[in-house]
Parts: sequence; C-alpha cells; structure tokens
Amino acid sequence: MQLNLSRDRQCKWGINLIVLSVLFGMLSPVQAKSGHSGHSGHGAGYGVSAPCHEPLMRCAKTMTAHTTKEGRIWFAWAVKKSLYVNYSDDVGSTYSPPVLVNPEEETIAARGENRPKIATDAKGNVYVSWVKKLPQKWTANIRFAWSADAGKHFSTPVTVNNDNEVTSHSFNEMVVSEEGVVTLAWLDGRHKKRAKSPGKVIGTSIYSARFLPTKEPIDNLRNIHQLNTSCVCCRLALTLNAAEEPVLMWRHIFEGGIRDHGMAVLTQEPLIADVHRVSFENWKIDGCPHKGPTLARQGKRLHMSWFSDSNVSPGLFYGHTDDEGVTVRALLNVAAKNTFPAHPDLSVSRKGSVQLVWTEFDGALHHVKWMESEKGTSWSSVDTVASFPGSADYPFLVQHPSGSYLLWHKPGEPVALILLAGSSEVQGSNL
Amino acid sequence: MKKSIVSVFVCCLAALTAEVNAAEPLYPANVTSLFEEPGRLVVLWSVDCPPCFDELAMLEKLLKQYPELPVTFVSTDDDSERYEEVDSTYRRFAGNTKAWVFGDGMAAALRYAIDPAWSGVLPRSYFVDREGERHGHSGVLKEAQVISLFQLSDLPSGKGKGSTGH
Repeated sequence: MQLNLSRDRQCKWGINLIVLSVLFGMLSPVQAKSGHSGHSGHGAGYGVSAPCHEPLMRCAKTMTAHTTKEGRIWFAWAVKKSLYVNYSDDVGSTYSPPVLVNPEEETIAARGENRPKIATDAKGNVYVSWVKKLPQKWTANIRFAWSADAGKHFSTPVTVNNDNEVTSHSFNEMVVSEEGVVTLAWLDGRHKKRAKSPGKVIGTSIYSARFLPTKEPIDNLRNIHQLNTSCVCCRLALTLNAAEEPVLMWRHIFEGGIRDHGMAVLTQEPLIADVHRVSFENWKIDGCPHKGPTLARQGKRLHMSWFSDSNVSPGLFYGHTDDEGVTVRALLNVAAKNTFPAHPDLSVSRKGSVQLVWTEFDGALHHVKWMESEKGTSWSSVDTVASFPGSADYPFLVQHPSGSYLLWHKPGEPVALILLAGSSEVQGSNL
Repeated sequence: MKKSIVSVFVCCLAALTAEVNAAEPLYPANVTSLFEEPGRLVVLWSVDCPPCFDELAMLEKLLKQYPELPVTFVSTDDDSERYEEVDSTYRRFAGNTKAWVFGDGMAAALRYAIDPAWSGVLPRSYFVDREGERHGHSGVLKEAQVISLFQLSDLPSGKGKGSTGH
C-alpha cells in the first residue's frame, strides 16, 4: 500500500536553483514516457520472480551453459535452495536428469552475473562454482564443488573464501584449463569491512584461488588478495590466454572516481602494478554501474566488450588486445546508449570467427543482437536474432560443433537454443 | 529573517510520524504521477546497490529532521520475491514520503518509461522543478547537496518537524 502523506500542492520547499542546475543538470530536463509499453497493470506476462519451484530447468531464473569440445552442453541452474547440473548431447532436444550439487539446502545467488558457473576439463571432470547468500544483507560466500565421474556425483561443497567473515563475497567467475587447473576470482568485502577510518574508501577487493584436483585438497584453498580498487557492485570477466594463464577484466576505480575497465594476468602473487587500463570512456560515477564486461580468446587475441554511461561516450563498446591489455585496438562503439544496450557476451565459434551478442530494448520488446567478425577488425552487419516482450535471462553464445547457438533463457519456458545460422529454433523437452 | 527563508513554504502539519509500511508496485502507466508534484525529489534505488543505502541513510536522517521533505522512493527491484526486503527498508522512513517498487519483471519497461536516457545506473534521482520539469542525477546524493537544494539550513529551527508555516 502506498502511504501518501499528502500535502497541500501549494506548499513548496524553497529550491536552490544553483544547486539544481549544478547537481541535476538544469539544461537537460527529461520527459516521462508514460504508458509507452501499454502496460497498465500486471500485463507484461513474465515476471522476474521464479515461475515455479520444481527441480525443472524452466523453473530456474538463470541458466548457465558450458560446451565441451565434443559437443556436450552442460547446464547449471538453481531452483529454490538447490543447485542442479545436467547436460544435453543433442543441442537441447533432450536433457539428462538433473543432478543435485548441494545436498544441504542453501540460498543460491541467481541474478545477472551473480549466478552459478560451470566448466569442464579434457578429462571430463565437471566443476561448479556459485554464491551462497547469507541472511545478512550483501553477505555471501563463494562455493565450489567438482565431479570426477562426469557429473554423476559431486564433491561435498566447500566455501572458497577463507576469511570466515560475514561480509560480501560475490560475482564469482571461474575458468578451467584443459589440464584441469581451476581458477576462481570474485569480489571480496573483507578489507572494506575491516577499514576502520570513516570515509577511507579502499574499494572492494578482488580475490582469486586456484585448485588442481589431483594435487591439492579441495578445502582451505589459498586465497590470493589481488587488489582493492574495484567497486562493490562492479563485475568481473575471466578467460584464459594462449599460455592458459587466467586473464581478468573488471570495472576498476581509477583516479578521480573513474570507473572504466582494467585487465591483468592473474598469478599466484598479488597484483601490484600490472593493471592495464583497457577502456577509456572516463565514466565518473559514485554508484553502481552494474553491467559487466565479457572476454573471449582467439589465439593470442583477447576480445572485449563492455558498457559505459560516460557523458562523452555512452553505449556498448568493443575492443581487442594482443598483449593482455597493454595496448587496445579496434575500439568500436557497437550500440548507442539510446538502444539500451546491455549484457554483451563474446565467444569464438568452432569455425574460428568471433561473435558478439547483446540485448537492446525499444520500450516494448527486448531484442538480442548479433554480429560476427573474422578477427575483430571489421564486423558483419548487426542482426536481430530474437525478440521477447517479457523479462528474460542474459543472452549467451553456445559454440557447438554443429554451429553457433543462442541461449536466452526465459523463466517459465523450456530452455531453447536458437541456431544463429538462420535455421529453426531447437526447443527442448518440458524440463 | 533571511531573504531566502521567504521562499521556504513550510506546509501542513500532517500525520508525519506514520511509517511507510509497504511499497506500491509501479507500472509504466503510473510513471507520470511520480513527477507531478513540483519540488519533489524522486529517488531510485535497489537492494542490490550498497551505495544506494548510503544515500538512503542520509535521507533517513534528513527526514527525521524534516519530515515534510517531499521525497518519493522507488525501488527498482522488479522481483516480487524481494518485495519483503524492499518493504523492510521502507519501514525506516516516515514523513512526507511515498514508496514504490518496480512491478514484477517490469524493470526495462519502467526504465524506459521513466527516462529513456537513464541506463539503469543507481542510485538515480530526479528533482521536479517549479515548472514541473524533471532533472536527473546519477550517483549518490550528498547530505550537503540535499540541504542546499531544499535550503534546509535556512529553516529557523533547523529541525523542521512541527515547524510553523510561512
């Protein structure tokens, strides 16, 4: 119920016009677009809240996929307080029965980038990482489990962060090399919490951990404090370079409160001076940028895409680097801000091309846009590959031996993989 | 009395101690009503946005001093499973406030309806000027900025609550 403690419309507070002008941009008043979408009530059709609570893929809010070299597509998804893993060997026509990863119920983050992650190695081991939300606001732990029998059973989940502090540990990212070296990276609030001096902002820390299944115990993983200057609601992207070293891209707090992106190769030692700035829009914001970047490797080249809302250059961007961020080339403003571009996902196809998908919104429909390039220097025209009026999950590229597919999960509907070569949609059983 | 105080119209002694108990779900058709009242500050926030809570804490403090301050809160958490968390935050506020939460699954449509130039970054605030035009701001508002915007420091009592009109 809205409580409108109504007041006389003639009663006004004084308004400092100078402050209004400086703070709120006097020259740029905005006008409402009331009712543009025609929703006069609960008419959008699809909400964000879970559509059902059964252990079915369609009941999950988010869907994360990982495709093996042979073409098995693994899925990780959460319903209520359970995390499930299953796979499809026929591009989504049928799915294996879900396997429960966490025998003890826990609240699993499944929103935006803060979602379960899944990966495999060449031996067929399956690795899962997720965020367990704790009762207190913004507190969570990074969790991990793995399977040595191709996903039939999973190890007892462990907490990766080793601080035993009730604070924020979130936005987990995970990469696994062919040999099975697991790298986890996440945003960590332990140092921010410990900072005693009021106003002494050190930013949110980035931590990482490494796990070698055959050589190290799974519990008490060494945590590496990489650096402090990310922001609490920033996001990470993680991939492997040509030497199979983990490369991290994140929204960094640069001098003056600029929140553009940094990149670094993660080692077993903390980062000191090896942060390379890879985006240059000079977005100054004391707030939550939210939208995260994406990374994909093609040979020695790392392709990047990110969003910026800077005054000078807002929109969705692309660039690539051949030296882990020392130099950035082929900068491209992929989509203007007024198209509401968001949630980019980069991936290299089995044929070797680099592809980018992202969402746009026109006031009524969400659209998934797609474009392709041989090396990232010149791109195809932009195609609209899917549209939807309701709330959907982020779009992801699935690179399969049979072609490139779009995974765009719509809670409440069967998981669908859309063949991007222009063929028909593959729609799964009612899981 | 300072000249600037003349411009301060302190109004009605309403039931200013009432709490905001639950937010009203917002849909695009309601958006215009958010900005109808000249002199109102509209604050958009989310339970997923820690900096937003710095701003909310600042406004909570100001609203205790100046319960008549015309502030509208809009949570962008368009997930009915999170409404309870949103409402628990709203219970901190009293006074001349209005409380909304984005309708389930309506974030994109509402962002577009509110302001096509707003990317969704939070916190986001709008101020409705005397002519009814809206002015947007991204990032955390500081207490001094709000005090200065509303000329609160010029109030005679400095307490606002129970103040007499001019």
